[in-house]
Amino acid sequence: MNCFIGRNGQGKTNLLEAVYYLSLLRSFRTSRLADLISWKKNGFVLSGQARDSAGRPVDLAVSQGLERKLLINHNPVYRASDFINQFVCVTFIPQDLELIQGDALLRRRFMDIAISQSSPGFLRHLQAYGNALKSRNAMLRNLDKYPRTMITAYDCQMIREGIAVELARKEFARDINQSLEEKSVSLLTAERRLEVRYLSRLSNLLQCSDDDPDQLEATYRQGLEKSYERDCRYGYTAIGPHRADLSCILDGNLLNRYGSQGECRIASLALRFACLDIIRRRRGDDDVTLIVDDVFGELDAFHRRHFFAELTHGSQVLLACTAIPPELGRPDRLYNVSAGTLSSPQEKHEEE
Amino acid sequence: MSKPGQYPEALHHIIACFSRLPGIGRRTAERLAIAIMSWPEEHLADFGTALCELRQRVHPCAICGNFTETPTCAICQDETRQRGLLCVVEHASQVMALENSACFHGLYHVLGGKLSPLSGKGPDDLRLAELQERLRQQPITELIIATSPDVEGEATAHFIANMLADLPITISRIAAGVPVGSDLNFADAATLAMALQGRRQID
Repeated sequence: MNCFIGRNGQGKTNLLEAVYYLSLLRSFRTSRLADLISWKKNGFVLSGQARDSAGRPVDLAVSQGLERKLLINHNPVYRASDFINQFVCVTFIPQDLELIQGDALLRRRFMDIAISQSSPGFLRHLQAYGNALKSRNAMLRNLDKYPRTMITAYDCQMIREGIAVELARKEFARDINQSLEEKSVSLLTAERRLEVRYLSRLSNLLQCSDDDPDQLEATYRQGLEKSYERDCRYGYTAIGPHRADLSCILDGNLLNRYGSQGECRIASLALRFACLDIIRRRRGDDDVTLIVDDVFGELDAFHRRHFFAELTHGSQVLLACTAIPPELGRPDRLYNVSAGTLSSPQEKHEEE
Repeated sequence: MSKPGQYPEALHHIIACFSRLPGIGRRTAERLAIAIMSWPEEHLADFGTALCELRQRVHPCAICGNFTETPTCAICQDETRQRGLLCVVEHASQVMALENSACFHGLYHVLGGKLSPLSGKGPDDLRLAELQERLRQQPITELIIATSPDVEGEATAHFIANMLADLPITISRIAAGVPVGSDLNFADAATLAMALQGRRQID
């Protein structure tokens, strides 16, 4: 447990963001590269040392100027997919509230990042699906140039990759529910029941034919055919995993509609803990870095206690806050962050 | 007159030309241009003539689309090739790669790219009509589609297979999997998945 303490605007979140970026080559705050670079600078450099599952050090470095360079143990790496997930991060950040209350896009991203952290082949399917979908939509908007037969040829690719994405997400939603039920993440008091439901028109179509891949393919194809006329009119593909959502239900009620602010916060934290549980189980490895950025402000003392109890289960934790909450106890290492610099750590044992 | 801190106009021009090439950044373009500056006169003249003549001399083969200096390429003219076997590739450079492997003795058909709506390439931009014409006129029994194993390449393969479904020929797709002589450790997950999918029984 590492705790970073500082007043507002001193660079705590920035530090956590840098760690996250080394893990996933993206920020949890923004998807715009320009937003990650200091004012009046042309780029940034990040480096850090992680440990692989056997405990060996792995040096990671990113330099982002006009182009991005990635180094693992000082050797260049050319594909982002080879760089990411050298160590795995799970975040608990203020923006997580949006997972419940925000756009479906954010929940799809949540699922996709979590699945790619736990199943390495997934990213490839997701990218291929995205490519096929973009291609199909481009054709739908220019039907004079592209014949139906070409759209059909792309449909085959879209169906293959789409099914892979869809099945992985459904499995993930199942695992989330299992995790929420089994561990019933102690954040939620025993009598409350949180579950997620993976919603997609495609899944509704595919439901009857869940197991047989040929049947899945045929049903998917019929679905695309049925909506073809409509797709042509709108220049957009109406069915597929890109339209899916993950709805969160607390005691039978849709959280984004009926949940209080506090309930939504608790649910978002519970989702993250379930996600952490899945990643650990699938990787067969407890080493996950938890990034925690002041998410406990809205919690009452009871939930706070449970949140910290849950947090300290074994992982490396990087926690940023303005003052140490009393429920946390004494962190193993305490750093002061001031004007973008980090003090040397105060170790727990030194004072005890 | 060039401004201080800038290369003279002629040199700048050459650098700009080089940096248009694939895989060449500004730095490399500068290095190449400056290296050329020190070449002896006759090498430079030779290089210049070769560049000027390139497009006059080399053009696509009228039959298959491969690079050639004669109306049809050496492969199409070669009577010893298996004329029933036709391999479809995206680019002429891939004909070279397959030829260097010396394991294919049929004929080729170069498409000139792959179907890719995101780069504005549709069926009319590829040499597909020529392919259909060839299949009508020549005694071809098997078509091997060797487009790349990505989304666009697979879609192109599908498109061709559907387009030709009525013809009495065998249509096959090249296999994908683990590179020969390499270690399984170095293959990425997607390649391994493909290799496992396309496994065969040992007989």
